[in-house]
Amino acid sequence: MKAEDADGTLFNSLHSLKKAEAPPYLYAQVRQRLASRQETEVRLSSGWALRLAVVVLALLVADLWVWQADRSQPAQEQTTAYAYPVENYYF
Amino acid sequence: MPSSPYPDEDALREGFARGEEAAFRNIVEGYGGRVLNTCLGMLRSVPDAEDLTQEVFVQMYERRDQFRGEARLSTWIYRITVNLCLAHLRKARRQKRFAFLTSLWGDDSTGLRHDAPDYVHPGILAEQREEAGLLFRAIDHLPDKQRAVFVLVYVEGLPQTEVAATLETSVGAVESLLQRAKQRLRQELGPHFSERRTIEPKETPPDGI
Repeated sequence: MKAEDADGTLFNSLHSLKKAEAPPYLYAQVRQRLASRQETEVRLSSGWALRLAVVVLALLVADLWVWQADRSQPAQEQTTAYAYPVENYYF
Repeated sequence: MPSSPYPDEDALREGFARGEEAAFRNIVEGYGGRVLNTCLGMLRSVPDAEDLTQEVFVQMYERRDQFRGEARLSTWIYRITVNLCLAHLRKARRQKRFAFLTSLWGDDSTGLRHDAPDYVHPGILAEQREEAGLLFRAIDHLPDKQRAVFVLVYVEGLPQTEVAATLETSVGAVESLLQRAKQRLRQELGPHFSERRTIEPKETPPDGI
């Protein structure tokens, strides 16, 4: 028997394998997996929306607090000492 | 395929594109076995193959608006199957490669990754198990694309044109991959074949009978 025939027979014997059968509950499993995935997506997206809302709210509160603190502090008069350049004088 | 309101593949495809539940159910029940067998041929692990079979249909459902209808429904399903199997194999190899590092951090959540055990395809007769086991182990050592082509042609029995459409390549490339796969399998299984060749003449009946 030639090598080609031997391995050809072996390879071709794979065609004649009785195929494995998918379980009858495959469709139910697929639907269940789809449902749980959609639920996870909704939970994740709502989780992200909640986190975003918390961050925005925290920024607003911080801004308000700074604005309040700024307003409550009276403006202080400041005197500035100016030093005008003097001719022929170097520091 | 179970009795359905869809007389042919076109009607089934259109029903699926419209989001009809019955069409999706028909597809899962009609193609489930083929998807499972392709996964088994590629992965040689029953739990992984069953898990990926479910995942194929989940991804198919989620991407139903991407199906343009240019290819056959079966081609599209095989394409998703092969892509998922190849991704699974790559992930398994990556986990195996970094198993030492992850074990240093004590992360054993993924469990130990072993080579596939001596998986026996459910369709293999008892007397052919040893032979088929050798062949499937050799298939494991093929590069990814060669393995995909070999399984689709020899296990699933798809014509090379459909394999080419599935892998989005040319028929010539499929032929070349198949030849290389067979060549490699011959090299790997060489001692086994020479043994067969020496044994088989003894089994032939004598002349005149």
